[in-house]
Amino acid sequence: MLKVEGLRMHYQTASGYVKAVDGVNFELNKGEVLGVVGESGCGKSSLAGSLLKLLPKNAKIMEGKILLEGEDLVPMGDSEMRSKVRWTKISLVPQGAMNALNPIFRVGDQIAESMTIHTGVRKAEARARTDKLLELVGVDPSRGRHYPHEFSGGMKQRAMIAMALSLSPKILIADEPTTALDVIVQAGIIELMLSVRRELGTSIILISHDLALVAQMSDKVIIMYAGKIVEYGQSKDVYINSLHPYTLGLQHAFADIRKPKERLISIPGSPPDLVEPPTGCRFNPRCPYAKDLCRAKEPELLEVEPGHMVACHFWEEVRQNGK
Amino acid sequence: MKDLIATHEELPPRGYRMAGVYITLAMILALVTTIVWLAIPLFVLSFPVLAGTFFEWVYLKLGVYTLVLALISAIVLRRTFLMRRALNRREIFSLKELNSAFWGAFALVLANPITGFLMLLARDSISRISPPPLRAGSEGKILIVDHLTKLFPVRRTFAQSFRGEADTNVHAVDDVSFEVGKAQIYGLAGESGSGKTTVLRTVLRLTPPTSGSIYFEGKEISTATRREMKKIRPRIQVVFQDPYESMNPRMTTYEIVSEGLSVNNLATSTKDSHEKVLKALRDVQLTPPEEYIDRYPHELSGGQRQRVAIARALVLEPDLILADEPVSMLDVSVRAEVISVLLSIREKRGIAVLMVTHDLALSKDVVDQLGIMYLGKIVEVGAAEKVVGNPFHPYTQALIAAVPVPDPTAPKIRVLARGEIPTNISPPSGCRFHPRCSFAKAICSEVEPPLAEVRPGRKVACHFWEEAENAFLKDVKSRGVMEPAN
Repeated sequence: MLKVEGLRMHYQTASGYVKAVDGVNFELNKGEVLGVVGESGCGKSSLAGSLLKLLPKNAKIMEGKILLEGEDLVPMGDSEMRSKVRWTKISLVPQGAMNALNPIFRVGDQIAESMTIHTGVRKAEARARTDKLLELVGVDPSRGRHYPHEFSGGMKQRAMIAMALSLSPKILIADEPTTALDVIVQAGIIELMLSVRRELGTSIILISHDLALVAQMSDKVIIMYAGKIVEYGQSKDVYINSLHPYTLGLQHAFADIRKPKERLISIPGSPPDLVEPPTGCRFNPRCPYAKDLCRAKEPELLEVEPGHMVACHFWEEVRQNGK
Repeated sequence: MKDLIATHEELPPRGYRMAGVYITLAMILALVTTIVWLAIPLFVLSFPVLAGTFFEWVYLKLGVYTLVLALISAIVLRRTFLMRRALNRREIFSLKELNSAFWGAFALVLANPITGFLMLLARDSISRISPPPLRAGSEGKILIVDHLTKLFPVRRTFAQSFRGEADTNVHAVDDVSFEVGKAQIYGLAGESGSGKTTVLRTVLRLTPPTSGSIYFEGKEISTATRREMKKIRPRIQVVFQDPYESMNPRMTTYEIVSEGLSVNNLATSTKDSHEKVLKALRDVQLTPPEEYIDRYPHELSGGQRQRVAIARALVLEPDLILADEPVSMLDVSVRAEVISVLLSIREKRGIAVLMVTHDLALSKDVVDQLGIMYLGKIVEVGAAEKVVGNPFHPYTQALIAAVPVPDPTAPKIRVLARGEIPTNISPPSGCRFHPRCSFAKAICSEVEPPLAEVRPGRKVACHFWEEAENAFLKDVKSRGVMEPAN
């Protein structure tokens, strides 16, 4: 349904182009949950912005295609995006959604507003649909008359999801939907998003730095590093049969509640400067497997097993040593 | 608190008695002097014989002088009074605290030398009093929090007062007790609003406790004077949650780390301060430190910033570090490095850490003792690995069941607790968790379960913890995940 081909998005800054999204390919089918995992500054949120073309002024899509049901979004103008794509086909639950509600309007009115503006339905009709949406996300419809400050963090997040669903989009992009929420509340939000997928058949792109959260929800996973996809595949393959050293590094650095006490291992160094990324493989300065080849030649994203793609010269070695 | 006073009563009270006598005398003298100096100008002015002469002018000048003396006397009188009250309450234990009271005495020499002399005698007797004994059972403990309660008052609105409603309180922390051993990492976990951060703030004395005591190395700090706190503060240091917000962007790493040294006069020279800063930076694995000292915060990554924040705490050679969610703002890939720094300074320098966290998976790997808080109460305590591996309290179980695991084949997380955390303005009766608990019975809404040791080293506050434990173990077995510890 959504197909992204060779997408490059750069920010123009005083020190040069920041290559935030650099040659990204992926596909999203109907009803699928795609997880995008990576450190901060790896281009996850820029990718989400590019899909909706909600980008700051200094950002530019250099090349690539974003095919939504066969139609390319890249050449579309702002008004076309607004009338054809945003909200109705792709909608966004933004990062820090808890602060995304306007504090001086009632929550229900804010949800209804998106419907009246985009489709021109009557207010009463929009209200009725708002009540239904609130019920769907597990908020008592009578709470729609309340203001955002009367909502708890989890309820605000639910309201934001209701708003994103208001025009029954085909794709929901959730950018860090549960940061700043407590675990029990987070669990509720995860359940809600999965039930939305089940009942409405909405595809979800879940952007997060939390490996575990993505593992719980996603069918397919993209691991991003420095603007590039380093590993992509069914989540079972990516998590259990990891082929990229970065994926393995993330897993070793992540505390798993099921395991006995262990010493976590961090990935040495920090993410690279995206203006002048390292030559060859971008992960090479931090990689325990790095050899001369990695500094000289950039590995391509290759399908090494059916449906499992990895961008590493030494993925076979990683597979042998990874366990 | 009661036994503390009792032990003081047993102390040889001679020093107190003598100081009391001296101060009482000084007080009476100060009173007399005040009256005399006030009376002199009135007396002079009431002499009609001198009216219009040169002598009247002289006496009027003198009158101003005596008024000043009277004022000084009055100030000293007040000080003697305050000191007497403090003595009666057994609040003065150290020489330093008294010193301020004596500046007045020196100034008084002109006004009344005898009072000044008496005050000096009182100081002398008090200086011989030994400090209060340490709290019993504080050996090997760096921090003891004893029945700590913190309420924040909520004023009723005008409308509420009409309806006859009373003022209420937010029960932020309610009767919390725990002990942090030397070189121990103690974790407090719970949802937001459970009172974790308020405990930290009270330990730092950023906010006074409503009741209860906090002992640092056996000395009570909840009632310590400002001068005493000044001594204690460098030994309790804080690492804040967000390294992007907790540093001055216009200060270099060197300035950030060395500031505490100059504020507390802990460096003997510039060279000494320089060496201490470099050592602290090396201890947090920012090597070589020379490369980092001139950088500004924006030139550091999140993990490096948090390590600078730890260095800033370390440079004062503290015995206790309070860490408020030290890694929650950091990327997963660098969390481990900050955690390993915390673990290594504990090993090398024997520094205890009181850590507030909501990440149970991480606390199992980092923390020695873990206390789970819910609505201002500790509901479960024990070795972190055991609490996380085999939780007894239904709330702890709910927290653990909600933590996602990085394995797509594992069973999905579940929501075991119903609804959301209630307000702590009027917390539920009985067990505070009962409205959300699936094991709740009638007794739970009536009787509050005490935090009792049910297994060696494991405390839990639940009437039906055995039932909950069995249910959890059965569930774990049936799902075939999580090897339960214990």
